[in-house]
Order: sequence, then structure tokens, then C-alpha cells
Amino acid sequence: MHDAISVEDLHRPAVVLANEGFVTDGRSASSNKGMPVVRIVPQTVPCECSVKEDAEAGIGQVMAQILDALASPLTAEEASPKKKESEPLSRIVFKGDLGEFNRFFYKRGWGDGLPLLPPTEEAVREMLTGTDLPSDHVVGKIEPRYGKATVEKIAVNAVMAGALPTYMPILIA
Amino acid sequence: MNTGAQASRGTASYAVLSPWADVDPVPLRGITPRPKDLAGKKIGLFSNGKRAAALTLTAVETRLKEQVPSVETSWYTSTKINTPEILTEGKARFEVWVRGVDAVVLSVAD
Repeated sequence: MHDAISVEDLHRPAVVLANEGFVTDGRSASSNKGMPVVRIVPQTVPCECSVKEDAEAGIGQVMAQILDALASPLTAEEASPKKKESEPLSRIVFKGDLGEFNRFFYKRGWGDGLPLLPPTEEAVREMLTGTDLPSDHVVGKIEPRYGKATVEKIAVNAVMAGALPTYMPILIA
Repeated sequence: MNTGAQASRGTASYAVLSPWADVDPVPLRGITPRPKDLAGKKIGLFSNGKRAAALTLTAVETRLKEQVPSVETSWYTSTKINTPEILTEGKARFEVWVRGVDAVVLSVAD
């Protein structure tokens, strides 16, 4: 997606062919780069495809969309995308028991399916005893969203993963 | 702190902190106006260098020329897989290439 955005930044129209399984990732990446309306054509050519006939069949299904993406006029939103107002996440995102907490996080893709421990204020405070750095210190910005990895956010995620406070220097390094 | 026994019975209630990092707002920008039609245009075909990309773009090129016979194509293959081209030594060549075409189809197929 970064290359498509580079093309658009050079004032040339870009059309991205993305395997349908990666369209959401692609849209997320383009949004994080400030260009949420890059034209993406989902295609079904198998990943790592090396069979000419499969590639031709997959592209044959979407060729009309490719031509349309290359030459159809921009919508108002594509010409000037508007910021979608989203509710800022509150500091406390969930209250419930252990099973409910795990289900809540799993349904949102906030974990990989392995059991999580709840990052309560108390548990995070304990995790923070593993470092002398202030909790609001920004260790770095993490791709693809360039989220600010503060010491506290690292501690929250460390609690979820079952880490100990003594792991914090390694997690921060 | 809830006890382990409480937790194992599922009776303890936890107030859970957000694991999400704050993000600085990014200014949004739109995409480039499209040509009215593709006749006589030069279309760039950008391959990210992965296995399916060249085959996919070859299929695009074939059909494009069938449907718009006057179209020209120009290929570019990324310098380094999984690295934005402008962060590689190919940046200058890439920018010249992009400026030399009317539109670009990029294959990011895996």
C-alpha cells in the first residue's frame, strides 16, 4: 500500500490489486498513511500463485473493476476524504468476569485466542514496578498505526500476556 | 485484587484498561483524478516482486491491451521485497518511472 500512496503522492492514479484476504489490511494501512480512499480491487488469484491459468482466471473476474478504478471519476469522498469521527476509547474498556473479558477481547481481535489475563489498574501498577521510567514515557511509535507505545501501554499488554514485572526492561528495550 | 479462587469460579469482576495506544491524528488527503479514458495512455505495472505479482500483472497487461489496443504499458519491479520503494536505493528511478506514466496498477498479491 505504501507504494500506491507514493504513486498518488506523485499525482498519478494508482489502482491496487490485492488478494481478497488482504483488503482489510490494505485499507487499514492506507488509512494510517492518511489516504483512506486508495482504490483497491480485491482479486482471488491464489497467494504465491505460479500457475498462469489461475492468474488469468482471477484477473478475468475483476478486469472490469480494474478498468473502472483506472478511469472512473472520483467521488466527492475520494477527492476530499472526511475524517470519520470515532469514539475515543476510554481508559477502562471493559468490566466483567474472566471469561467475559476474554470473549470481549477475542471477538475484537485484541488477542490471538490464547487466554489473556485482565490488565486491571492494580495489575498494571504492579507491572510498572518493573521499570523506573514514567508510565507516560513514549518508547516508540509502532507500525502500522504508529500508535504511541508508552510504558503504561507496554505494561497493559505485558499483563495480558502473563509477563512478570521483571520482564519490563526487556519488553521496553 | 481478586483472588484466584474467585477468578476460577468466574465470579470476580475486573475493570480492564485499554490495551490500545493513542495515535496522533493524520491529515487526510484524496486520490488523484483519473483520466477520462485509457486510449493512448501509458499504464504502469508495478510488481512488488513476490511470486504471484508478475503473473497477475501479465494477465492484466494482456486483457488491458485486448480491451484498449492503443494503451501502452511500462513495468517496474520493486527493489526490495516488503520495503516501500521510496525507502530503497531505487527511489529516484521509481519517481522518474511514475512521472513517466499516466496511471499505475500495483500488484501486492502474495
